[in-house]
Amino acid sequence: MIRIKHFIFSRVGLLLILLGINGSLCHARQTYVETNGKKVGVLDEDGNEVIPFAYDNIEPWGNLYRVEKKEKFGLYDEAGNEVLPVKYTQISNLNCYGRAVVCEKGKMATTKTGRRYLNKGKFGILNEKGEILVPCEYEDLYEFIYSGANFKFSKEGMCVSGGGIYFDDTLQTECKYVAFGGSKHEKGIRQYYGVIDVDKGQVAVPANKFVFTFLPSNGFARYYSQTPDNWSFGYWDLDNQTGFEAATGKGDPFTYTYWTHGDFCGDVAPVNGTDGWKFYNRAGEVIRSGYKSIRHGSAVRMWMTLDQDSTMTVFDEDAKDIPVFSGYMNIIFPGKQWETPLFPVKNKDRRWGVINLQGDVVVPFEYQDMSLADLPFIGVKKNGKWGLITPQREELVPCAYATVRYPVELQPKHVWCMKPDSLWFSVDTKTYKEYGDGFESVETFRDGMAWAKPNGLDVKPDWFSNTLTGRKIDDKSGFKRFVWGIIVNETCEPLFPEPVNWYYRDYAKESVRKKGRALRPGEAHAVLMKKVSPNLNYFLNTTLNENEWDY
Amino acid sequence: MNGIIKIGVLSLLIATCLSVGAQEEEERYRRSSLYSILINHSEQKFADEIRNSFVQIPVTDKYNDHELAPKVFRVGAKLKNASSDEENSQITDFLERNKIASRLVAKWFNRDHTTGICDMELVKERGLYDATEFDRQMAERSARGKAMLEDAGEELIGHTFVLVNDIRYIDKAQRSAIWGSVLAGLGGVAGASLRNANLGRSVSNLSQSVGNMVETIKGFKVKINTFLYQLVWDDETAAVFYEKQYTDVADDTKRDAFEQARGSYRLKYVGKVESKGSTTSFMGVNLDKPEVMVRKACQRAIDENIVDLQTEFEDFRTSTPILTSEPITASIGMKEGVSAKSKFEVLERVENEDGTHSYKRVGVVAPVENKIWDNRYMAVEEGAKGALLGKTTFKKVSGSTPVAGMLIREI
Repeated sequence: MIRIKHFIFSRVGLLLILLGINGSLCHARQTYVETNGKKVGVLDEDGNEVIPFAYDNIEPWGNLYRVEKKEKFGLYDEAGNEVLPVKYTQISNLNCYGRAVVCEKGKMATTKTGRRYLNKGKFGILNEKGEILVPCEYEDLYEFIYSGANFKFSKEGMCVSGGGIYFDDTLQTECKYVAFGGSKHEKGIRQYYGVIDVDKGQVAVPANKFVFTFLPSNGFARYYSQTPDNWSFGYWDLDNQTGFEAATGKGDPFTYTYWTHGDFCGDVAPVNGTDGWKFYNRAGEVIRSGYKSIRHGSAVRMWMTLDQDSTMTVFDEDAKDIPVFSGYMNIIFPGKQWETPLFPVKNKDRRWGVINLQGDVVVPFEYQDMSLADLPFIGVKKNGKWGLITPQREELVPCAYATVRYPVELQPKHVWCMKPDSLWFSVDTKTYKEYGDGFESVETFRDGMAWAKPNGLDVKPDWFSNTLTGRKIDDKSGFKRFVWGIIVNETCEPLFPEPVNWYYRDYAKESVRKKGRALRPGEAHAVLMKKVSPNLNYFLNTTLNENEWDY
Repeated sequence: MNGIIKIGVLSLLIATCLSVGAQEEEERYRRSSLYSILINHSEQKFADEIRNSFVQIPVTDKYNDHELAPKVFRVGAKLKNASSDEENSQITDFLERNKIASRLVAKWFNRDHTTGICDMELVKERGLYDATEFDRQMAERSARGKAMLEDAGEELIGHTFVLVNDIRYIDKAQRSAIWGSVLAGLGGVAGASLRNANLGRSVSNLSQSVGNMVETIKGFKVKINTFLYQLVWDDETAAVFYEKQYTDVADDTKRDAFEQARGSYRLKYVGKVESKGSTTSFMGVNLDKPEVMVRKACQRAIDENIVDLQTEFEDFRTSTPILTSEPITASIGMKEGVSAKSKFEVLERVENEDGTHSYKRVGVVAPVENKIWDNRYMAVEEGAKGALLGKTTFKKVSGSTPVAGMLIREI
């Protein structure tokens, strides 16, 4: 008799055990399976039966247990109460958002590539409590996970690809909405599907109504619909189950080079019509129109518009004007929310300054141009040269450079600045002293070091450089394959003096950190060889070149 | 006792005051150093899987990682006389041709091949020397410094080993295919034997999707011939190295001297063992990842061979520090070959007046039955008895009561 021991612990200390039918061996924290035993149950730490020994398999499932008997699945809680009866064909693993697929009927099958799916079943959605949010009534379900690759229109929002549910993995999204139905596919995108509001457990957009429906936002689903002559672009009100057309277009929308319409942000949605940009409210009424360009600041929840006379208007997502910005010609919205929102604006004298939400001038209007970083730094341009200041008007870099690289750390000691000859130098933010002989390309300083390509560095293709380009880089990132540099500190002294491919730069930096000092050339070579050797083929009957060894 | 610091007693004080201290002490003992090589049979099935598994196997924590970058070397045919206990000419020739011994020495001194610059950082770290004192003695070229170097050479550099693992897949394809079919066909019964009925169904699915991989992998078995070599680091070799080749500043003469002398560094053949070729349990291996079975089979066979080599060759044996004295425990287990029949000598490390270290046997301990840690690869996943113990408990057989920080070594 073969005896196999098995343990699985739940979070609360319940012990899942696999027990032989003789049931005689039940040790705390150890379990035993015997070849003539088939059933599985759950005991608590005292050996009391929590889930009866009636199942073929039991696995932890979030706070619950997923039980299996004769290829049917159900759920129990930790106290041994049945949450879902053992009648479902499949219950997938929970995802990080607490969502899983539950199925009835059908039969499990496997694709040629080994992915497991349910054939001819009915799908539904569960939450982490085992509550059925979407009943098992749908022949297929799809997540909004397809960005549409290179199609302009689909970049406007997430849509649905042709692939369905596979049980090798969990669901991928929070599944606030899922799609169902549909049939046709074009260029990888499923068509004519409907949308289910998962929390409400009901259909939010009927199937076969629109050609493309995007992931709903703020109570509306944006759609593309086709008429015999035109394409219609509109919004479907999920609550009222009505929609309105906002614009039309001709030709294949896959070839459009402009955005047609955007999701509702707050109470307004932007639409690009033949007469320029306009904004719709939730009732389907045009409340603002006649704009030649618009800009949205998601971090500050504001819209900026320019009318045909280039007059700027700024309003919030409830379409209320923000008067402090009136009278200015342009504005830059911060990409991320700073502690105190500040806004570079351009006045009628075509000078840039910075104001706050109260309209107070924080940085006077003395610059030709400005730009904003994610951190509170402001790029400023004067006399045709760029510099960098803080919102407190502290000058980090004088206006003397062709361009400036934004720091990614607060209180930067050095900042990369480019001169008119397109070479980068490290500039001390206190003394403004420049370091380095000029680099062709640089990476922003982090922890006092950066990858940088010295001017004129030429790594000729040979065995070693070919090896270090990284064999597993796919073609999409291939452009980085031939980019070489060294790791330098903020005063441009080499820390990792061997040329290292962009692909391995973090590995090289980590080796410097571990060593706590600059590496010697031979050490750097050894570090790189350690990394790439596992990818290489060596033969027992050959003598390796010296540069193939690390020591 | 004059002039001798009782390291073990000091360790006891630390360990009993602060439990974390025991864990830290575990890290601080001298180990032998190891470079493992795979001879990869490209003519066989699973050559790539074995290779991929091998490069993921870390150096066991009972040894210092002294790995060189190239670790896998392919051959297209069975090694000649691979089963013989005699030195294998193909392997020895490879090691000599590629001057492996010199590279192991260079690694000890972190030698930069472009400048010749060396340092003693690794020697200090692995030798547990007081870095400041070590540097001072070296700078003064004192007798004490010389003794330290000799001590390091004998106990550290001279205990550098090369393990050459000739891993061959034992092709039982026909047998395992039949086995796989039986499992698939009798899913319920077969599944129950390993975990549950789910397994039988999964075997069926995977067989369809990845061909014979799963069926074959279930019967996956390897035979490993492990050849052990030891770096020769005698007084003469050390003297030449320190005088003619070691430099802590760029020195072309010394750099070239080492390069020219690479061939004079040697490895001596210690011996060889052959794995038993027993079947490894499939328990704990997820059927979705059958390649894990390859690693499990390889790693367990290599670990077994290391244990066998330790049994046969005293120089290769490892020591393990005692974690606690009441009860006597150590972070060692079945992976290191601990069984109910094992016996270990207890060694007290002493630091001599001249800065060197020596060991004194103070007793003998044996494992307590049912308290032997199963630390073999994937023991936890397969639910092996003792897998969760985390350490093995010992009982005193003779001598004085061991204290935390003392070392145990199998006898």
